Amino acid sequence: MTSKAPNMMRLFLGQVFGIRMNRTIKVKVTKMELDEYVMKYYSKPQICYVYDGKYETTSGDIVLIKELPVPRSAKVRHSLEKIVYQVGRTIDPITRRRCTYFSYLDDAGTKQTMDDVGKNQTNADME
Amino acid sequence: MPMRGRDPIRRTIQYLKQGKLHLRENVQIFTINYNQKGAASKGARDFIYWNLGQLQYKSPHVQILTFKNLTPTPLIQSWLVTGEEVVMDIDSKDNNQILEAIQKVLGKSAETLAAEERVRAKSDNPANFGEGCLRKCICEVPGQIPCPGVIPLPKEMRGKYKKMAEQ
Repeated sequence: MTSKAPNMMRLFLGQVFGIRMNRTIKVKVTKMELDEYVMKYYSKPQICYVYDGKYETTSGDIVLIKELPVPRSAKVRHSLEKIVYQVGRTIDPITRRRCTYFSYLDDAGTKQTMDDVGKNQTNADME
Repeated sequence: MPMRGRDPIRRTIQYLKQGKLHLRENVQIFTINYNQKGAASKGARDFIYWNLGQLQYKSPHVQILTFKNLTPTPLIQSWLVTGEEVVMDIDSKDNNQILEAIQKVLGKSAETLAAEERVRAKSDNPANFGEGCLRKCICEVPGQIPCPGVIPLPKEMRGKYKKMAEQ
């Protein structure tokens, strides 16, 4: 990764899994790597120490991190750019509504349960 | 002996190289949200099953992620180098429709690919010299005239003196 202007630094998406440090969080960034023998792509995790000055994140958040033009310390080379999905408070990027995997939470009348999702399926729906 | 697994054709180099979708250089992250069940996500599931490997193979500079069972409807979210976010709705879209949509928004155009191919062909040939090749200038080759930027050419070889001599 070459150094460029500050607004052109490399972005990554990762999941927060460590928050017990001073203004620093541990983020797991996964990249897909091709296993040359099996010829399949597997996720390879990389741990990044990320600067989070305002203690905004919690464990499990999906965050966007940005490479810093100058590293803050020996380990901290990234800073928190944005929390994309907060854990337990997923907000759908298209509709901007709180949601779970089967419904929107502000839809009082049409709330589905996990069982309802499978009920109206036909075999054609499955792969 | 046949290959193991489901649809093992996906696990061949030839199949990976057949991917037509190249993401642009300014795309840094490519994310696809899909659900395990439901007709709305069928196209997204097919895309991940058949085409995600091809996409990563052709765009190694992009971090590709999948999110399963996070949002009710499938979508594609992408971040560019400028921090700009691109969101695409792929609800009830077919595998091929998703590919077309991504190609339109985030894919390299045919002209860009052709230009890159030209540069690659030019630099592959060790006999060539110039921009993108092994040697910048013919002056690097022993036996040729030294670089005029370092040692000025003799007057007989310089255009302005030739013209003056004619007059």
